[in-house]
Amino acid sequence: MERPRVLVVEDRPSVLKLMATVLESVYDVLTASDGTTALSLIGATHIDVVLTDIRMPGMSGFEILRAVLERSPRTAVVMMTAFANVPDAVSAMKMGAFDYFAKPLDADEIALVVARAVEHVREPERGDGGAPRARRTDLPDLTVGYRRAVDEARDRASREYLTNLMRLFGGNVTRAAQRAGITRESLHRVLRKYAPHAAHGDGHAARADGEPADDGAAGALS
Amino acid sequence: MVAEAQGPDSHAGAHRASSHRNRFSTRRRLIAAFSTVLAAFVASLSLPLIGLHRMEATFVEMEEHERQERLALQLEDAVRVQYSAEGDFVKSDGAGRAAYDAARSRVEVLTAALRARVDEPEVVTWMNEIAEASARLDEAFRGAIAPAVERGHPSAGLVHDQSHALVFFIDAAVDRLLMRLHRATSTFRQDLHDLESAVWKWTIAFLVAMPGLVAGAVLYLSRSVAHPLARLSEGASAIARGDLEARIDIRTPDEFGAMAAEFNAMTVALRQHQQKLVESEKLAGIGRLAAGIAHELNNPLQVMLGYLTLDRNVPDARLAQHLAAVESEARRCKQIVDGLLELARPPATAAAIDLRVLCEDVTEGLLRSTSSTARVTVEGAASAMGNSLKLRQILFNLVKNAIEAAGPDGAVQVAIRGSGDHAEVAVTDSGPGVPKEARARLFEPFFTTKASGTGLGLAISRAIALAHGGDIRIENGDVGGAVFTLRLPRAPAEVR
Repeated sequence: MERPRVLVVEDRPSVLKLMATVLESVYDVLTASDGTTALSLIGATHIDVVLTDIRMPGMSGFEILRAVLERSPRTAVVMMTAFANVPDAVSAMKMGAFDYFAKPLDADEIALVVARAVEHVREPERGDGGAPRARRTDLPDLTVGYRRAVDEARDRASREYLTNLMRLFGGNVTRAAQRAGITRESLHRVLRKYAPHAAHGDGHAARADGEPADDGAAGALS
Repeated sequence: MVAEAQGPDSHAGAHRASSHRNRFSTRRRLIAAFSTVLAAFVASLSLPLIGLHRMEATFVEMEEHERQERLALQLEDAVRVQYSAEGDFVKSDGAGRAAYDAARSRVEVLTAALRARVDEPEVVTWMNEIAEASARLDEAFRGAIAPAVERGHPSAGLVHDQSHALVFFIDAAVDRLLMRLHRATSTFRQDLHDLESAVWKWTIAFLVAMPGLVAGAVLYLSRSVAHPLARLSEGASAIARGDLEARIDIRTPDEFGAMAAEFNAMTVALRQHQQKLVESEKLAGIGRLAAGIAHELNNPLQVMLGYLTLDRNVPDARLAQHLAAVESEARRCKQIVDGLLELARPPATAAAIDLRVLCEDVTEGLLRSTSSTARVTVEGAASAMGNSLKLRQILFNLVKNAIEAAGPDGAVQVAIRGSGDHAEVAVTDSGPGVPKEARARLFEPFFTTKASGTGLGLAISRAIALAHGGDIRIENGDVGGAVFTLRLPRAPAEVR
């Protein structure tokens, strides 16, 4: 199977380089620092996943999303932003983006988001992939705050994805991690995160409080 | 500040009650002042009028006395004329009988007239004596002199001489009467003089006293009406100038006192409102700035955290340690940025929230996750309008701070109560309390008394409370620890 192709659109070279570094071990990574370059690449070759920033000089991430949805229906679009807010997230999901995340994310979190998007477009027979362009209706409860809602939804999806991968590879962690483009440690961490007994309410509030809740939760689990 | 925030309500309430009792006291005061002045005017006019009336009565009396005096003199004269007519009759041997009769009838008329006018018993006796003497005089003439003269008897002259004693008697009686009248007249004159001087005295006294009285009334009115009004207006213009510290110090138990109290309560409320407005404006400004900075920091943080998490498994232990430290600090930066964005976040949708359930949930979760041994109690119940997660966030911060402040053997009390149109949650801890100088800054972003922590928790909590139309205030409790009171609008179903 050929390596999935991922296009990263981002106006900041440092972020662009990071994304490429994180993803290049598993994917063919194309990069574009503006919308025009991105659109010409999309027209020229098949791309599985487009990872695009929202606020960029010139063309915005939403315009890229619209263009991709029109020209290449079998491409999943993941929006990322440093200016995360509820209306943006809602409209991105409603327009048909596969996912939306707020920077900063850990490397393995980025890898997982992309891995899920790739799975979504490559294996449509699994899950709801039969209709890759279907508008997302299972929006997270965004009233609780964008970061918490989006992080939570993403973490749960990642966990579900990894659980499926593990099942697929018959419990072989190394192969599952390889497939997802993350390390074995990261895989374990994600699987442990949001385990059923993890204190739900406290995690919420602690995060909102701006106090280090992750440390406490991770410490208790590892 | 906190005590003051509660004070004015009860203060104004008490004043409102007393103002009902004294609602018309200013009207009463005006009426009293004007009636005093009016009464003084009436008195000053009526006293001379009474004097005049008494003077007139005295004049009438004096006139009567003069008439009596005149009559008495005429009578005396008439008696003499009668006696001389009698003499003439005797000397002329019977001629002039008509003249005697005329004189005699004049004496009788005058006697009757005078007698009709006198009323004092003593004088009446005298008059009777005069009438009797006069009658005897006439009797002597008719019984002795006239027959003797007709017969040419010489005894006529003798009787005539003898009856002169009667004339003397009458003269003496009339003189007594005259003397008495004279005395009375001089008494009247003295009375008149006294009256006149009394009227003068009173008039002058009133002339002198009236301006004083009127001035007093004016002064009294100005003190009790114009003065407080001026102070109220001063206070109002102070407010207009923007001086919200202005207080009007009127402690009288009347409308002005009540008005001043209302005014002071109003300025306190206004000041609090303005403070709140300034604070929320400040917070909004901080929020906007924070959001801008936070967003700009997210891209660099992405690069840092991205590489740090990518290279977690470097073989060099020393380098791995360093990178872990950098990652930990980068995560802290991320938390600060998230906190700053929370500050800038607009209020979320609101619904009726059972504070009891929420508090118990938060407390339970916190005790489990922090494995604290502090005793935490939740009491009371009320429902508030708000966003469940935002309120949870506030309560989480307050209870978490309280548990940390109380320490392992401490106690934390979460008291919920609803009163009027708001619900309150008071979180009390048995810790050391918050020093006065720290209290004012406690809700400022990045102000913290803890070694760890971003200093954003309380600022965010306050911002959320303000966005809900509520507030958070801090006091030191009875047991020495701090009391954080979250005030929220009450759920409509509970507001009566």
